[in-house]
Amino acid sequence: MIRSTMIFALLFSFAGASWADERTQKTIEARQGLLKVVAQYFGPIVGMAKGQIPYDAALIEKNAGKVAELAPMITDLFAQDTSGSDYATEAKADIWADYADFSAKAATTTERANALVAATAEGRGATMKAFGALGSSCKSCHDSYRQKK
Amino acid sequence: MQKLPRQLPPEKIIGPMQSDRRPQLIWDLPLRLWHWALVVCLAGSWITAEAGFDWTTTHFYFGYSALALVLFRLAWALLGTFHSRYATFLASPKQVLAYLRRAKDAEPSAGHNPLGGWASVVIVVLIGLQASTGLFISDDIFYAGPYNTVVSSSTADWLAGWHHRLFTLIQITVLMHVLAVSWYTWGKKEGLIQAMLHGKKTLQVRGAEETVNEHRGLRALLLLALAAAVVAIVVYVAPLPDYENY
Repeated sequence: MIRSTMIFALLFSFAGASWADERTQKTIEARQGLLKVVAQYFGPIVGMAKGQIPYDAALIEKNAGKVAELAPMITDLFAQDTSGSDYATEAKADIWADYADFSAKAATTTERANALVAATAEGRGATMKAFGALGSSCKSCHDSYRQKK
Repeated sequence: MQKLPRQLPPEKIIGPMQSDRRPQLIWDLPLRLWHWALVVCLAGSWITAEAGFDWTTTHFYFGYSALALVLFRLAWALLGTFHSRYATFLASPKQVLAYLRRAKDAEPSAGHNPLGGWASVVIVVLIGLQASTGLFISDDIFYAGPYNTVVSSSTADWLAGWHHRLFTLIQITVLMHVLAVSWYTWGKKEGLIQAMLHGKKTLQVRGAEETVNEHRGLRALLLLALAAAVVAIVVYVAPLPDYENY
């Protein structure tokens, strides 16, 4: 009886550990997916800023709006501390060491994406200036919290 | 022709009178301008890398310029004046070790000493690698080197890692270079730093084949234009990123 209880306990603890692992992996994949979706909307505006694809204010307005909707999901998906996991991730443990700062940076990105939507009504110069501000808010987070190789 | 000193027996050349020591041209003008242009590129690319997002385009231009300067130096190593040519100053490991053992009392070298010659090659190679890795990497957001699109993002990240490590190596190498030339200038009183400004060192008069009496300025300009054109073409023909699938 004692032995079978121990065996069951052991099996359940394995199952528990693997359930936690799978949850971590899914979280990490979801974050990577989210940021890839952000990049999909961001990319065409980069091409326009560099003059390599035609300027299209309507498309910038639409895409910046999507980025503004996606950016708040960053803090949703990073809420779980995965710093101890073995899964490949470029998220630095510093994120959870100072989650308030991380959240503030993500909030800045949302604000600036909304500002970019507004700026598209004010012409190309204002739009590109707002886009630069959005890009630098992305970068400030990558510089602090994305693992450099 | 300065034949007379060459015909003197050696004991008279290194005699106490030292009457035949005189300032003579060692570094041609293109080499000196190249050296200081490289200093500007290194300082500029460092500052613009630290200054952040808005300075990235300027950082790229410093990198392209550094790459052109490296290409120019390799050409000048074959086509420059006597002391600018690699064949003149690249010494064997044996000579380098022998020099290291007596560096303190060694007679001033006319051009690069056996160790300094290799140091100059190391700096040029490091800067060439640094500028080249920059062509392939991106900041994951907005700015990307012209050839970022031809490598996978993991390769780009790996190269970005080297772009950062190489710069640390360059900083160490430059620091050692500055310390070394300071020692030669103020410790051994050889006027090395001055020589990189006015081109001259005060030395025993050398043989005619070792005497630099021209700058080859036109040739240097053509080679520099060629090096710049090569870099410009390399950057210009790079494929554009796929912005629809960023």
